[in-house]
Amino acid sequence: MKRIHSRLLAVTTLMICGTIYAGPTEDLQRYQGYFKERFPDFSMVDFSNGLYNFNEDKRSQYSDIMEFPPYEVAIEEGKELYEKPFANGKTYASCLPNGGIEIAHLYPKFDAKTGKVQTLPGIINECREKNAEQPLNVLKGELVKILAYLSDTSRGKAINIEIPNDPRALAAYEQGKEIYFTRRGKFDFACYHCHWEASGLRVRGNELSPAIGQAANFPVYRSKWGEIGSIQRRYKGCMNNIGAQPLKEQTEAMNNLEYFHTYLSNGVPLNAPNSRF
Amino acid sequence: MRLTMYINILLAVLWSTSVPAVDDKEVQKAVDLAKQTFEQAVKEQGGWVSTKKLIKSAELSATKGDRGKALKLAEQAQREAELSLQQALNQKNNWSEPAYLQ
Amino acid sequence: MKKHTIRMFAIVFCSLYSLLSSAAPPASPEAEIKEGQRLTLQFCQTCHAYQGTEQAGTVGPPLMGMKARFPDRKKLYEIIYDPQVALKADTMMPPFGRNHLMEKDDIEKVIQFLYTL
Repeated sequence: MKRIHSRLLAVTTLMICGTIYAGPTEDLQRYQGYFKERFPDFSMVDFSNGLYNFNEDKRSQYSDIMEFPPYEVAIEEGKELYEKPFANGKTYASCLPNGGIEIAHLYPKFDAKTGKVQTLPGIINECREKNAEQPLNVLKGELVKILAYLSDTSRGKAINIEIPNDPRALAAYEQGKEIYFTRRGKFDFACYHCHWEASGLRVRGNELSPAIGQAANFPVYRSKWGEIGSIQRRYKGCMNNIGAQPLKEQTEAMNNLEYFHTYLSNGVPLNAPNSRF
Repeated sequence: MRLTMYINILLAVLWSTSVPAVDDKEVQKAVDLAKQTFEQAVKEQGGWVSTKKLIKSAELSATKGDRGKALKLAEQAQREAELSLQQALNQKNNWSEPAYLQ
Repeated sequence: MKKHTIRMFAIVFCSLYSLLSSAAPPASPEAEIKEGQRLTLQFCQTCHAYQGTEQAGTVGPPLMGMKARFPDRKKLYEIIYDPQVALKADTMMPPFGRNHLMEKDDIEKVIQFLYTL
């Protein structure tokens, strides 16, 4: 709390002074510029295909799998769960903008009322609690199936995460950026180590996906999980892989990380839910 | 005289091969310290998965009565927890974008 | 006096004997290289390819001609111990020594093996 206040103060000061603070727009130009230079032939759709750009065999397997996508059942079940009224007769649609349809590509979103970043799983659970229902697990299970259905309604729409000119939104973005570029775990890795300079190269027999486009595939059916899971589930798995104690899901830190990381994929068409090994 | 000599030899061997006794309090203190330092690191968004495992192993050894091993593991966990806390605190002021992005 | 001398001699002898017998015999050079090979497979193959590995990582440069490329053993040790200091600050290579992924002896054995590549 203390840290986010001091970050807030720093950002506000820099904005008032109009000095060295470049801002998210300039950041995105540099970040996406790096990847466009690294992979000049890639379209935004190509970026969302991640590791499948770098391994013909795996790409071929993926194409075969996608003839009968493993997430279709999750979408159907998610739709049923979403449309089923709560015990009090109200529905999820009453809580979500546009009834929840075609909004997934806009999340996470900064909420000016609370001053915090909202994720779709967060809003779904808030809706449940507002209607006297128990919150659901945000990493897997029913909530993620609902997420699968909502994401499917946005399929093909360009991800468009907004970072408004509000010091609190900018502070949240900055915290997400800090977490992304911070070394953690026994191996001292930061997220960027694998997904920027090493993107397209191989670690332990697996090609590394570029940072741009990753968020476009979530929620994802992973063969390893045998089910569909949310992006924060993947973040936790990744942190665990590098020996770092994973951040807790749906905390301010984790939501801000998702805010920053999804922002990197602005302009990439949402292609979720998707399938990965 | 010979008996005394043999007894002395036996005592000498036992004395030289024995390890100092570790009591439960010492083990608990070491485990608690490691847990505290680990929690501090987690609070700073740090902490290592391996430290958590070491603490668990220390506790398991203690319940099995192997206090010597438990103490060793707890001390190792504490060293790791300190390193991970140092990492988290150091990164707060030193995280940065890589040189090729600047 | 004689009794006392024999007693003291027995105590000293037995202490030395048990101390020395608990110390591990020194490993042969072949055994060290073999252990170094095991550690290299565990920690290095993730990012570096070298002779005899399949499906190795390509993130780091291949490990070949190591003795010719790193004749200063101390420098190679420092790179493995803490590459952020010995190589470059934003390297992605883990600090194997600083973070106790490997102990000092382990790094020495890895170098023994690397020098055969």
